[in-house]
Amino acid sequence: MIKRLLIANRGEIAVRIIRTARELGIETVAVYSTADRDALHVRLADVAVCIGPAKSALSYLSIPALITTAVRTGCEAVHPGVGFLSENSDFARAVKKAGLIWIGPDAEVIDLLGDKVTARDTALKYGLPITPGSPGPIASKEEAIPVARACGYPVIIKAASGGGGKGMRIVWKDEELEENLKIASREAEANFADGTVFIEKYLQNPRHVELQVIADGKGGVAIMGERDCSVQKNHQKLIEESPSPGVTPEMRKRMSDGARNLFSSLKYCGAGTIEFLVVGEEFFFMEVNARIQVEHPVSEFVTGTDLIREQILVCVGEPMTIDPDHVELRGWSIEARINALAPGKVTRLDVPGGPGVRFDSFLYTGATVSPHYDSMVGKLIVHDSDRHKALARLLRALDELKIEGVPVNIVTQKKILSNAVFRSGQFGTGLYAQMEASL
Amino acid sequence: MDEKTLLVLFDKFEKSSAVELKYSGDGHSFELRRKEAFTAMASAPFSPVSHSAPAAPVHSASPRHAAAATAPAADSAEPAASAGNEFVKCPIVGTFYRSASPDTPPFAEVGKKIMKGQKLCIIEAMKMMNALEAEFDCEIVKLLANNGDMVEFDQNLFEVRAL
Repeated sequence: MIKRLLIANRGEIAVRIIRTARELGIETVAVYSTADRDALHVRLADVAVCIGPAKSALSYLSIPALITTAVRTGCEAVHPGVGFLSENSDFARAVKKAGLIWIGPDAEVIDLLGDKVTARDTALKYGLPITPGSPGPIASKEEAIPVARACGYPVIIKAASGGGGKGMRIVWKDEELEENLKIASREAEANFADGTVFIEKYLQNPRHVELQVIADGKGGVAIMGERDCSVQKNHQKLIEESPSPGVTPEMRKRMSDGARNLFSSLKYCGAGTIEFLVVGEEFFFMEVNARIQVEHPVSEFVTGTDLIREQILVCVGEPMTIDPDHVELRGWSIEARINALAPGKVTRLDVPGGPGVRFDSFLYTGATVSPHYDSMVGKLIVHDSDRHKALARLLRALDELKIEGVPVNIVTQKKILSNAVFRSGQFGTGLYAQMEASL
Repeated sequence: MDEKTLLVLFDKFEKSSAVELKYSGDGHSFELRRKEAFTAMASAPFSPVSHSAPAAPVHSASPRHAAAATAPAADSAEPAASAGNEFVKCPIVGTFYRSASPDTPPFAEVGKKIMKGQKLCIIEAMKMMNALEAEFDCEIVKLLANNGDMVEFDQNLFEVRAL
């Protein structure tokens, strides 16, 4: 087992990692920017080193500062956390080159999964369906019609070099194809200097479902159930739950089998997430996130496992403490992200408690929420035997949570949890926008 | 230096491949930099830039943290610099060296006057030796880090008196 670990992150996730490391008997080295001098992760770690100014590019994203600190403080491994450099293969390589252990998959695996086309091809090879569409660029109505009919309407025309909704057109029937192809291509040309477009099946209000994976780098893969992260505002997740109200045991098995093959063949090491878009009983591979995720605690609750512990163990070459072939899912867990609506100083903090309640946060009375970083200040997670009970527990815990001095999104979260569509379990990624529109 | 000579110099600099030119002499001094010089600085987080700070104290992490890996000297609850004095702060994380090599004398000693642009110390990071230069003429009042110490960003390295 390693003796000392550098945590290349801040905030709630740094605190989370310190807690498990301490239980494993590993000393922790925290890094911080000048804006985080009094942060909780700085207070909790065994050693803390100021690595740069408030601006992330010069502190939390500075590979030389992080490597220098890790080497100079006698660390044996580096945990990247989430966000920042957690999926940066250059950082993973630099860590390895400095003779340190990277708590994550190999740089080559990160690169392979980071390339969308390669990742889709790899997923397809291991039996995971991808969104149907044209294999290459589409230039004319004649090319488009057979592809669109094969996918089934509606289809979406997308710019090959695109992003941010530019050069995208949704098409509902043959007659609309020609004109929309021209508009999409012109829009793509204007925005990306590349008029190439392709066609994909358009998924209406899909669910966002992801599987939690722990793999040992030798082909051993544990699938730790799924999470439903369909409640999103502008692609930012707000509420996550496990299991998903929209996944049947049969779907779960098909998803898990494909994921197991994929991660096993990649000799993947560490924690990872495989994301799908789900419509009815169909699911389509989206991407793999080669790191631990913010919403991992819901999976910890339903599997009764410390995922950070398993992640560290497999990456330092120790056996995982779970049996990959016998992961049991128990009860229902829901997480509400607590986001600050403005920066400020916490003048009072009342943390909820009682059975099945967990609050992961970097807040304390007197803590500063800095304008320099992510707005998430905490996660309130609950567990109970079924969805109905878990919802009641989360609403109760949200009532108990009091944060003064910094405005947070508790009211919005309660509205979502009380929304009839959300409570029915029959919703997709469009839920939040629909709620906003009806107000 | 007359205007004509200056313009010729500008012209020659523009046509050369140099990105930076510093001149001082006959009572004049100037620096010319191409924009490449700035991108190089911006992309290299370890560029040797020195920061001087006002006399107000800056609090670092608690002493418990500092003691584990860094100098006990520099990171404890810091007193303010004496009236009129300033701190020279560390621009990067690294290892502090007082001299260019073990067998050469330290750049800075208490009482020594260091002129603007002269070296104060070396900060080593990832096997790169970064010289920290004085930003203004000063006299060293106090040494706040020991040779070989790990030093943090923003840590006080020297207390100095501006000349």
